[in-house]
Amino acid sequence: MASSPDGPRFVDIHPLPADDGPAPKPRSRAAARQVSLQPIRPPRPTAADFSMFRTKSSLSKPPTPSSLPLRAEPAPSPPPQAVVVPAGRYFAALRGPELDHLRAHEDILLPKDSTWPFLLRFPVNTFGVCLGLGSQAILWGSLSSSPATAFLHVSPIVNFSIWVLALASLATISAVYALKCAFFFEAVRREYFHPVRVNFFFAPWIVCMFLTIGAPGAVSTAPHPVLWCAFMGPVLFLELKIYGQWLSGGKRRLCKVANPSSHLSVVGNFVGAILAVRVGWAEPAKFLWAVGFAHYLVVFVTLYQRLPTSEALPKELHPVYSMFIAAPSAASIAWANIYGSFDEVSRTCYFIALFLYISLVVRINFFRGFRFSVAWWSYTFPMTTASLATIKYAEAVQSPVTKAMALALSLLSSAMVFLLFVSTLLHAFFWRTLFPNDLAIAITQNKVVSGRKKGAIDSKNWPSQPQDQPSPVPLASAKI
Amino acid sequence: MDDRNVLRSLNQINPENDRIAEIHRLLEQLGSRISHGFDLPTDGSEMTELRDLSPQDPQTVGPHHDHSISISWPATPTGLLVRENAVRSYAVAQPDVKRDSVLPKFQSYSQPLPAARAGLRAKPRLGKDTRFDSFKTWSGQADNQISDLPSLHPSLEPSGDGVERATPPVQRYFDALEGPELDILRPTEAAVLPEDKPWPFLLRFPISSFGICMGMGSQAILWKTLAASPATKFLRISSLVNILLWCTSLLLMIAISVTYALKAVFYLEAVRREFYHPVRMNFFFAPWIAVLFLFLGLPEVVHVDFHGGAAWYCLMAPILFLELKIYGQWMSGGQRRLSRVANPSNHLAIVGNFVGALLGASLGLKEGPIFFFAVGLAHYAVLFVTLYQRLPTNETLPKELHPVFFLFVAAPSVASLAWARISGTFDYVSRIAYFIALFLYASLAVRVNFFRGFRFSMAWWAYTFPTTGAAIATIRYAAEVENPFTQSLSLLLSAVSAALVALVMVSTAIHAVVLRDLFPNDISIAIASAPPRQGKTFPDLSLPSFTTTQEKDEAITTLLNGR
Repeated sequence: MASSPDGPRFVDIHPLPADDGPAPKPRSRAAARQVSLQPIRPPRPTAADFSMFRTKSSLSKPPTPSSLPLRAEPAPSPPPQAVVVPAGRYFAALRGPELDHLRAHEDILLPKDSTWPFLLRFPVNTFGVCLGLGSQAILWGSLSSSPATAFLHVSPIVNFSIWVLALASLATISAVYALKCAFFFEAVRREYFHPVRVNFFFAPWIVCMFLTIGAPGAVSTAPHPVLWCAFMGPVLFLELKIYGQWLSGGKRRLCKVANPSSHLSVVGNFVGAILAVRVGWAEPAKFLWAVGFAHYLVVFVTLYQRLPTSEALPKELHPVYSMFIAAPSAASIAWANIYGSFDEVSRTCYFIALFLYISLVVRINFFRGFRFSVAWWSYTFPMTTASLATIKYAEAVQSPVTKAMALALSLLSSAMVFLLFVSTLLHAFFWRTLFPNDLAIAITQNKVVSGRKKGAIDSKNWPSQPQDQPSPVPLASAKI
Repeated sequence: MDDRNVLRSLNQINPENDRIAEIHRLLEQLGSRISHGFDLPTDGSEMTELRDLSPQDPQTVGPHHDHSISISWPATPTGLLVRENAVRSYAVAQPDVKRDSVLPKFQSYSQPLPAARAGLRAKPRLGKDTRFDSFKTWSGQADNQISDLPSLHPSLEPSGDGVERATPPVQRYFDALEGPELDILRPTEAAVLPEDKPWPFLLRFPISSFGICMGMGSQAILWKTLAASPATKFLRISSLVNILLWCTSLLLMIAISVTYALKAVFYLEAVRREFYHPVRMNFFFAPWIAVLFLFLGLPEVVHVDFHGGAAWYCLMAPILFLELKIYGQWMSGGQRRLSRVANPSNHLAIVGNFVGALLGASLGLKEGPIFFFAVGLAHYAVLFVTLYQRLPTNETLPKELHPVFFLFVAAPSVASLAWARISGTFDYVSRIAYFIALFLYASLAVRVNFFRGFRFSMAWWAYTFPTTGAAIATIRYAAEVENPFTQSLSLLLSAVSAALVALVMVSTAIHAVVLRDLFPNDISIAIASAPPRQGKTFPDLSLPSFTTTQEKDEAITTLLNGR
C-alpha cells in the first residue's frame, strides 16, 4: 500500500537491471512483479496513445501541450474506449481507498513507463487545495471576528491573505482544469464516472461558496443571491445525478460505491444552506439542510456498517476517514445559522462531529505509511469545519473549556494545512512527484482477456468479488 | 452429514492410528467401486487387480468396503490432484510403488476432534490440575503469564508450525461458536479446556452476570417512579419497595463486582477473551450502566453528593473509553465491521449513552448529557438500520425471535426519558422516541410465542431491563398525557416488567439451587485460537465447491477417466 507502482518512480528504476545500480526504494511485491514482467511486454508505441482521451473536436488541430510531440496522422479508427466505463470495471481494475492504484493483473490504455501530458495527470482532486485554503480563510476570519476568540486578537489581515491565496489557487486550478476539459474531455468523463472521483466534482462549487462566505468583510455585507444561485445550481444538479444513482441508477448503488469521500457530496448542502442564510434566503436553506441531512444519514449508516460489498472502503484508518467529521459539523453550523441560535439540534450535530473527531484522533497512529496525494488537501477541511463549529459552540457556551477547545482545534487544523502546504510544495518543486500518472482514468474498458463476458459476470456477482483476485490467466499470455 | 458420520465413526474406531492413510484408502476404494460401476470393463482380471489391494493393507476397514458408503470429497484442488494420482496409480496397477510417495502429500484431511479430546483426557492427572493454567494470570511460571497453549496441550498442535496467538481473531469466534449469543461450540470444534468436568467457578462466571444488576437496578427505578409519579399516585405504592429493591441491587452489584474483579485478577486471559468475544464485549458496558441505574434509582432517603457533576463525568469516562474502542472498531478497525458483528446486544453499547444523559440531566448538567445523547443517537441510528436490515453477513443474528431482541426497546425508551430530562418537557422528540419504543415493544409482544425453547442463561437478566425502561417511559408519558388509557398502559407495562423479572429470578433460583447449573462451563472463552487444522473448519471441507450434484458427478467422472 505504501509504495505501489506509480509512474515516475517506476520509470526511474525500469531501465536499470534489477541487481546493480543504487537500490531503489523498497517496493511492494506487485511492483516487483511488474518490473520482472516488463521484458515480456511488447514495446508499446509511446506518445501515440493519448489521442483517445482528447476531445473529439480537437483531434483535427494539433494540441497545444508542448510536451506532446505532434502527431502527423490522425487516429486510425474511433477508439472504442469512448463508451462509458461501467462502474464494476473501476472496482475490478483499481484498488486502494481512493481507487487510484492499479491492480497487479490489470493493464492500462496509456503507457505506464513515460510521463503523460501534464493535463492528463491533473486530477480533479486538486480542487481539494482550494477546499483546504478556503476553509482556512473562513476559520481565520471567524477567529478574528468571533467574540469567543476575541482574546486572541487575531488580525483580519490573516484572513485576507489566506483568502487571496485561496482565490488565486482556485483561479489557477480552475483554469488548468478547464484546459483539461477542453483538450482531454474523455479523461474528464472518465474521472466523472470514477466512483470516488465523482465526489470531488462538488469541490469547485463548495470552494466558491467557501470563498463567498469567508470573503473579508463578508460579515457586514450580505452577498447577492445571484452568487448563491450560480454556485448552488451545479451542486444541486450533481446531487440529483448522484443521489439518483444511489437510489435507482444501475450498478452504482451506495452499498458498492460508498466511500468516506461521499461525504463531499453531502456537505455541499450544508455549506449551501449557510450561504443561503447569508444571502437572506431562509427557506432554501432549510430545504438544503433537510436534503443534506437525509442523505447524510444514509451515507453515515452505510459507511459505519462497512459492508463487505463496499470495496473502496479502506480496511484500516486512512486520512479519508476525516471526511466523517465534515458533514455533522457543517450541519450544526448551518442549523445554528438558520434558526439563529446554537440550540439542541445544533449541539447534537456538533457533538456527533466531536465524538467522531475524538474517535479518529485516538486511533491516529494508523495514519503513517500512506503515500501523499493531492487529495489529502480535501481531508483538512473537515477539521477546519469542526474548528468553526467549536468556535460557534464557544460563542454559545462561554467557558474556558470551550475557548480552549476552539483554540486547540483551530491550531490543529491550521497546523495540518501548513504541513500539507509544505509537503505539497516539496512534492511539486523538489521531488516533482505532485502529479504522478493518473492510472485511475486509464483503465481498460474490458477485462484483460475475455473481457466482455467476464465483466458482465463480475458486475452481476459483485458481492463475491474477492479483494485482489489474481488474474485467471498468466500475465504474459494476457498481453498477446 | 452421512459422510461426516462415517468419517467420525471411523476415527473413533482407530483414533490413534494414521487416519490420513485410512481415509485415503477409503477414498481409493470408493474410487475403485465407482470405476467398477462406471468406466472400467468388469471382467475378472481387472477386478482381481483392484481387489488385491485390500490384503496388502492390514489397516483397511474391511466391513465398510462391503457396504455402499459415501465419502466426502476433498475440497481443495490439491486434494483432488492427489486423489487423481491415486486413482491413476490403480489404473496402472502399481499401487505399492506409488502409494507411499503420494500419501504424505495428502493434506486435506479433517476431523481433528478425537485426537484433541483424547489428548486432553489423556493428560496425566497428577496432584495439581494444570489444565486451567492457560487462563490464569499467574500460572506458576511467573515470566510466562500470557499462556502458551500449545505447550500445555501438544496434541492441539497438529504440525507445530502454527504459533498460537494469545487472543483468537474475531473470525475464530464466528467459526467456532454458534447461537445468538455465540455461546455454543460448533460440533467440529474442540475447546481448549476440558468439557467433561466443571471448571473453576471464576472461569465459569461470565460478564453477563452483571445483567442481574441491570435488571434489579431498573426495577428499583421503576418502583421509585411508580411511588413518585403523579400518574400512578392512585396505586399508593410505598417507597419502601424502592428501598428494598435498591438495597438488593446494591448488594448484588457489590457481590458480582467483587467476583468479577477476582476473575480479572486470577484469570485475566479469560477476561481478555470475553472482551474480544463479539457479543460478550457489549456486556462490558453492563457494570457501568448498572452503576448509573443505582444512582438513578437512589431512594429519597439516601443522599449522594455529585460535586456539581464532577462525579458524573467520572462515571461516564469508562463508558466513553469503551465507546471509543468499540465504535472505532465498527468504523475503521480491522475485521470487526458492524456489518459482521452487529447483534441486538450491541444495544447495550448504545444505551449507556442515554442512561448517562438521563442521569446527567437529572443532576442539572446540560452540555455533557447532550454530548452523550448525540453520540448515542448517531450510533443508535446506525445500529438500528443495520439490525433491521439483517444483512446476510450478520451471522449471529438469530433466525427466529429470541429474548435478546427485547434490547430493541431499550434505547428508544431511555432516549425519550433522557431527552425529556434534557429539554425539560416530554416534547415531540421525546414522544417520537417513546412511540418508536412502544411500537417495537408491541411488535415483539405479538410474536412472543416464539420465545419458548431457549436455554436459560444469565444474559436474560439484561433483557428484562428494556421492558422496565419502556414501563418507566410510559409512566412519564402518562404524567404528561393523563388519562385512563395511558394510566392503565403504564400499569400494564410495569406489571409485565415486574412479572418478567420475577420469572427470571425464579428460574435463576431454580438453576442455582435445584439444578445447580446456573454457571455452566463457559465454552465461548475456551475456543482454540487456531482452527482445528491448518485450512478450514470441517464444514468447509465436507461441502466443497461443487454447488450442484451434477458438477460433482462431472468432476468424479473426469477424474476417473484419467482425463
